[in-house]
Amino acid sequence: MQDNGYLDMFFDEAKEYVETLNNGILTLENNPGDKETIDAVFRAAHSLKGMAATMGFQNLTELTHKMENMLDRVRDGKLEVTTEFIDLLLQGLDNIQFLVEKIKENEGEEPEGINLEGFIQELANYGQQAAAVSESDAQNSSEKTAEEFSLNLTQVEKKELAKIKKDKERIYHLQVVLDEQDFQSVRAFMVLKKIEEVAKLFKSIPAKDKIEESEEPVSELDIYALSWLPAGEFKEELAEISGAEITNFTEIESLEMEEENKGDDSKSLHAEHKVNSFQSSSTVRVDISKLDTLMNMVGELLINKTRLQSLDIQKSKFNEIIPQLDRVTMELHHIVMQIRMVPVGVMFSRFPRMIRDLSNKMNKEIDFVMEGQETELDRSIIDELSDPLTHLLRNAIDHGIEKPEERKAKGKDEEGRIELKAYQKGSEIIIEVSDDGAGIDSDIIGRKAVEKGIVGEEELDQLERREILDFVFHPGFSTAAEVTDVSGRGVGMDIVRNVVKKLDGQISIDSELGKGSTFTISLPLTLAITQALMITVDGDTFAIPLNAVSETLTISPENIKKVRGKDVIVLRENTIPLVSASEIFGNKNLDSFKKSDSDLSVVILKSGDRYIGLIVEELLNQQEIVIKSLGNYLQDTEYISGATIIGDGDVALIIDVRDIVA
Amino acid sequence: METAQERLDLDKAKNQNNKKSGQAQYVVFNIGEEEYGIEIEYTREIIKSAQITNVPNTEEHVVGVINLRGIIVPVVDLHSRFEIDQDSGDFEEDEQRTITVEVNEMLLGIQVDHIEGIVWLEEDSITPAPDVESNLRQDYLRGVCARDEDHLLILLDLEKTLFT
Repeated sequence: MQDNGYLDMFFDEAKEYVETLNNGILTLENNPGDKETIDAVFRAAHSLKGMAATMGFQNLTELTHKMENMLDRVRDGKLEVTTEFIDLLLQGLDNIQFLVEKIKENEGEEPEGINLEGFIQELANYGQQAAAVSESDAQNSSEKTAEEFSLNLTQVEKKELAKIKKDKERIYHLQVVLDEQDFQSVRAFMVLKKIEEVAKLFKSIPAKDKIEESEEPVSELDIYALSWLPAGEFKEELAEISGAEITNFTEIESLEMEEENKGDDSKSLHAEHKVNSFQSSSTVRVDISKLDTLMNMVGELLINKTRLQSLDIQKSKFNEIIPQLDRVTMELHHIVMQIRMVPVGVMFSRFPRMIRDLSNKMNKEIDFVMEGQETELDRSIIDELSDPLTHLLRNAIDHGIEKPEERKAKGKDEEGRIELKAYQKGSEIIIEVSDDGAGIDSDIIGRKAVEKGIVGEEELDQLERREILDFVFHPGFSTAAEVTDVSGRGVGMDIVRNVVKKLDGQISIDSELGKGSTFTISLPLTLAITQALMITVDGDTFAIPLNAVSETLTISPENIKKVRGKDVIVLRENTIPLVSASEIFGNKNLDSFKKSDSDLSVVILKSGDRYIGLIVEELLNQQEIVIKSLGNYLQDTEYISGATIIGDGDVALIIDVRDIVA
Repeated sequence: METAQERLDLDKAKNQNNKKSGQAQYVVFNIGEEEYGIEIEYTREIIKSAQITNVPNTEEHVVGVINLRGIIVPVVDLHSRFEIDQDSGDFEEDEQRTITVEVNEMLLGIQVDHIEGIVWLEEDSITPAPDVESNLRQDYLRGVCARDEDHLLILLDLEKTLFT
């Protein structure tokens, strides 16, 4: 079992590097000569290797090392980027992912009995002709070992060293020789990492980032470090690393004593060997649960601010403070939201590879286009959304896009097109998955729905095309003539809809037979805080999220018409069905309102492109609410999606608009 | 201040709980005339009944939700579950309390008419509930314990009571 903090960091970073590798390799396939991409891919492989080595994952280290070598040869122009090369790299990437998964399952240890030697050998053999050259390189650098062991510090560095040295700290100067050819730079990296664990690394020659970037193997390290440990223990710590031997070791007792003859070249030395320690980064990794807590605190603050506002104190000081408090809380909220936002590209990046593999497997030609990767969404939404999108894309390949011959026969381009788009629309984020494939036949869907007893035959005639298409989201509905291992057995689409619903979003489908289908997912920008319209029903206060409110109006009971047995109102030539809020909460039905003399307050709700009029008792105000869950115990309550705390500390329930409009 | 005091007692009692073997502590309360007990491990705190917001379209025993320091907590009333008359029992309205319990990782409030206190019970003294014919309540019981003559304490199986 390894230290969990490091392990989590390893998994986090490994995931990022794998993504970088994935994107890079695919970009490389299209632009084989792109120097920047090669560099980026090389760096990712290299960093991954370094991490794997530090954590002691042997297979992973070797695998990434061999991939890195291949890439290095491309950089040097010794290898060409061919399809074979790309395939090999992608296979390597799969193996990396496989290993990382296994390590995760195995609680931080590389499981035994995984044999990747054959594959690693394959990587090593690929383009072997270049090997001879790198060997001679290594020899050149090992000549430097002969240099004598002297204090290689400039005046400036000595001063700095003296300044940061704490009272009981010792300054060690040591030389480490790395004896194995193959993993020298990895081992050098491990040595420095180890030193950073037990000491402060002041300076190393070559510097740590130089080792990372360098293509040449490092055979020797000259290190200056500050540590609390006595010399013996310090050396023991380093002895754990195999293949690295301490050849010289001194404790520097006094810095001034050795301040001779180094004066003139101090500046250039300093510039060349960058002081390694105490670099600070401008980004911080934060556990998402901490952000959740922060968000909750901001929510609490907001609730209390609203309570203060409702106090209605007529003092000039008070009236001065409130707008300021308002501004600060808003800003705070905004920043926390901002921190939680992640570009959807993070999630999208895995899809090109998936499409490539699937289309090859199914012999389909697909042009996959992504747009709006920079669109940002709350982290928690992104995490949930990846599976539904994967499912939709798989469906598009499996059921949507036709085989090339078929497309040709229909007069379409042989290459099908799948688009994945993300964009912001008002306070919502829209994600669209569309294909120019076969489309969905609503007649077939309708027939199936009748067959499966989802809908009656007479009922079906009443339904609009769109409502019929919606049956694909019904549990247990599948139209695929045969079940393939690519898209599921009809358990998929309803799960997709459930996930989207859980995120407070909606999914709709549009399809034209022969032309293709588009699935549109709309999601709220944020899950936690939203603007709401406050209303009352039978004396209780409720909140309706403002993004679901189209407008509010007052009607007189005579305005209510009957169409096909349903109560409706006609608004700007649109017929909008009416529902009594009191009735859905178990009280007064619509007829009792029709008999009343007084005017009725109606909130026009919209969900997707459907509208419904909700008769409420009273329209109150518009305010910002913090959405809180009702908890698992009441989670499935019909027509209620959550709760919020209002001015006086009371709880107001949030109306689930989708339940009403659906 | 009373709530804080009662909460403190709960915590203190819990700390002592594993000190005696073969015994366990129960929080004892009244619903109507009868006395019920639940294992102290489930309980979080005892609060004066707060303003309850009714939640429509829920089961009959769910009376609504309360705001417990910013957390929304569902509150159940066991009168209907146990088929007990709301006005039975001889308790004043201000004796009513809500015991918050954590069951299946959910925080819930149970409304009771009166808190009796915390008692130690010998595990041996708990007997299976007597078979009363066609009584729905049977499923909800963990057992009964005769505290003294003609004084029966009914021990609840909270998971079954709240989740079936």
